[in-house]
Amino acid sequence: MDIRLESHSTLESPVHRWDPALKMVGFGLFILALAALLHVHAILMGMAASILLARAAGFSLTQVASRVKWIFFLLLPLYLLLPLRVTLGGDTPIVVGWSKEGLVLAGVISLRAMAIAVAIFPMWGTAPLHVSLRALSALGVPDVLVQLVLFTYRYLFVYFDQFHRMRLALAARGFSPGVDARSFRVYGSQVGMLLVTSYEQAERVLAAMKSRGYDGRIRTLETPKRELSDWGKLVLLAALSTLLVIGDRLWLG
Amino acid sequence: MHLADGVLPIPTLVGGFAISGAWIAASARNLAAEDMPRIGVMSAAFFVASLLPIPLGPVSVHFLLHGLVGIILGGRAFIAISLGLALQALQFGHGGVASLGVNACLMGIPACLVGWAYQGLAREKSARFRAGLAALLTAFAVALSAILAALALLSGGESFREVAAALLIAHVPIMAIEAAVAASVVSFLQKVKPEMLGCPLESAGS
Repeated sequence: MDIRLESHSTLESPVHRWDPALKMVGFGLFILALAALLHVHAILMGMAASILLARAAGFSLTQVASRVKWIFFLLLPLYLLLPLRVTLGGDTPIVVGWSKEGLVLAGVISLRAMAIAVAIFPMWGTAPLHVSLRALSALGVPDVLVQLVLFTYRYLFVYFDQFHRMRLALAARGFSPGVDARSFRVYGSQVGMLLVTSYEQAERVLAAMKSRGYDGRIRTLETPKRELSDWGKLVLLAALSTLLVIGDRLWLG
Repeated sequence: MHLADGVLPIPTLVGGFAISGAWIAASARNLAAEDMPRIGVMSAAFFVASLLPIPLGPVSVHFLLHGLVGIILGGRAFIAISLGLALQALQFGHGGVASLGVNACLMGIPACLVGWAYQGLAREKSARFRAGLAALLTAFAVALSAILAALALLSGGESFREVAAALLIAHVPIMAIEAAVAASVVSFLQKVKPEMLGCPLESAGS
């Protein structure tokens, strides 16, 4: 799992310099456009555009490939299931068939999924999480949600560590995980203990925040400054997205 | 469970964002400032707990735990689950981004239903009954999620029929696993921290 996407947020590139709120809008449009593509040629062009954007944002091809290959493996069952045609009933109870269209569809789906996955790099990996989230809140996402994500993200790492300690402790006592009643009691206690810790910690966090004057809002001193070039980049990406969809429907079929 | 990017047609994706957006907006309105650290911190714990790998033959599976999120967080489960899915998709690269809305619906709606059912049915019942109820409801949550996912797939056309069927079949063992772990988590919490169940969060602390 790639936990370190954020570690690229401090690099310098035209994508990094883009105003985060407009960047979210631009890439949101681009990803929706990719999801709307139907034909292989158009999707390949979309993929190429995604890769160029990721390169422009300073990501190397190896990094991009290391994430994208997992998506391909996850979607591998589709190559078997989509071409499969099972008909129940009739004279013979089960008829199994095979369609070439299904195979093509599986290819189209995995290409589309990979193109979108590549686009996530420049969209989400070019700013620290709190900056991206503030951009979303500037776009009208309720503050409540933004704060919740920040809390969750911060405590994720606390519980990853605790979870790891629990596993070590269990292993040190000779526990080998399996699928039986005893193992499930252990899983239950493990998950339960994690929840109890978090429940108690949440109370302490709340008390600590209240004592510092927390009233449900988080204030920052930064004010976003949008320049002409920020809008220019949005227009470019929106135009690219529109062209891809129009091209997909008109010429590349 | 979540549906990947690139699979679903645009109307389904947009519909998913519309429903989950409306649901989140409605439940965000009921949130007090006090709720935020609670839900945020507990979502993190659920997120980590759902990564516990269970060896099952040659592969290892993960817990979904959305039924349990519903039992403990009640109606707030939808927000907790959507945020978990968003973090997972964007920050960790697992699951779909364009399909986020659909995924939030197919995990969040069963979780909320199960949470409300548990709070209605578990009141003043024995510990054994509660554990059994948790198992039953969690299995139901898995089944409902699988059915919703299958319906979402079918919205992509006839060619997804076999995929949807395979998805439903694959969730039968998952139902059993989720039920077993939910029962043991609930009986653990009864002994250790009973106030986390039944009347979640509202009456506790502050």
